[in-house]
Amino acid sequence: MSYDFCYSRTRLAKGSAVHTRVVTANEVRIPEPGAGEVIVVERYGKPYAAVIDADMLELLKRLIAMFGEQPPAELSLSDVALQFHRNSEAGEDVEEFDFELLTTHPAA
Amino acid sequence: MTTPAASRGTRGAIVWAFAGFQPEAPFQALGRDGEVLTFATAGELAEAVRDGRLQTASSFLVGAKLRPVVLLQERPRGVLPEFAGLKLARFTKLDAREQQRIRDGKERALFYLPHDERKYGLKQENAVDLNSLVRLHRSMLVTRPVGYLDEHELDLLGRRVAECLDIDLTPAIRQGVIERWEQLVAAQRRTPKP
Repeated sequence: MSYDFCYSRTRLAKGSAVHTRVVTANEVRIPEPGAGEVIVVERYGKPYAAVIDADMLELLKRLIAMFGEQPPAELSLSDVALQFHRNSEAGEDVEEFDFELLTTHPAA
Repeated sequence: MTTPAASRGTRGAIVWAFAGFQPEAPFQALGRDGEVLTFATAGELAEAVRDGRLQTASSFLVGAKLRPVVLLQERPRGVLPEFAGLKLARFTKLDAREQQRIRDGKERALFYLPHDERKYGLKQENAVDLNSLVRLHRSMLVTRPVGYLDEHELDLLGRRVAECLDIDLTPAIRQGVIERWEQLVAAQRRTPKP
């Protein structure tokens, strides 16, 4: 059984970024979506989740990138950038000042 | 080709300056008699102002470090004494793989500056932290520019800073495309058919 994307309406606000959570096929039991087909899972007679194929997932991502709201940059901040930022803000790992510059490049 | 530092302004300039650390709790402030008072929260500080133990404009004790920064703005009139800038730092404390990611430009929140003393005026490779926006009064600048980012780097830096500040440039770009499209259509309509 294959699947590519599953989301809950309650977790996806209109126009917001898609956060993809990958689970293995062994963890879930869902029908296989055909090309261009959306499988809507209902609960209490209302759409609860949807399963779409990989092509449609790519299309959805592109549409959100084009027309959706910009997700906060902090969401995409990597561990490397965060560690760099923390070191820098703590004043660590900063190049040593060359005091010759006081003579060669004094501020105006 | 790099323009000689003396003939350029401040936009994209790398200077050495005292950059203050961000004040954070617990706060230390000078009382009315010059004594150092400590406050656990901003709320406690406000209460001290209300009670007259601190003046409304209090003197905070904050650290500052002499470090390289890149200035983002030109000040041709000199009437605004503050500059927006970004802090630079090395990244020797990161592991080899992480360092390479920065050098390869794979970290969008960091802008890599290779070791090029003639261009940047720095003795080692550095990176600009795009999340380190700081305002610097001109009196905090210790040196005149020691190097510069070039126009291409500044363009890229500006776009990435906008991203990091959650400034969405897409609507402006989209509007520009629409306006250009409408201009082209209008021009075509005006052109007489052969």
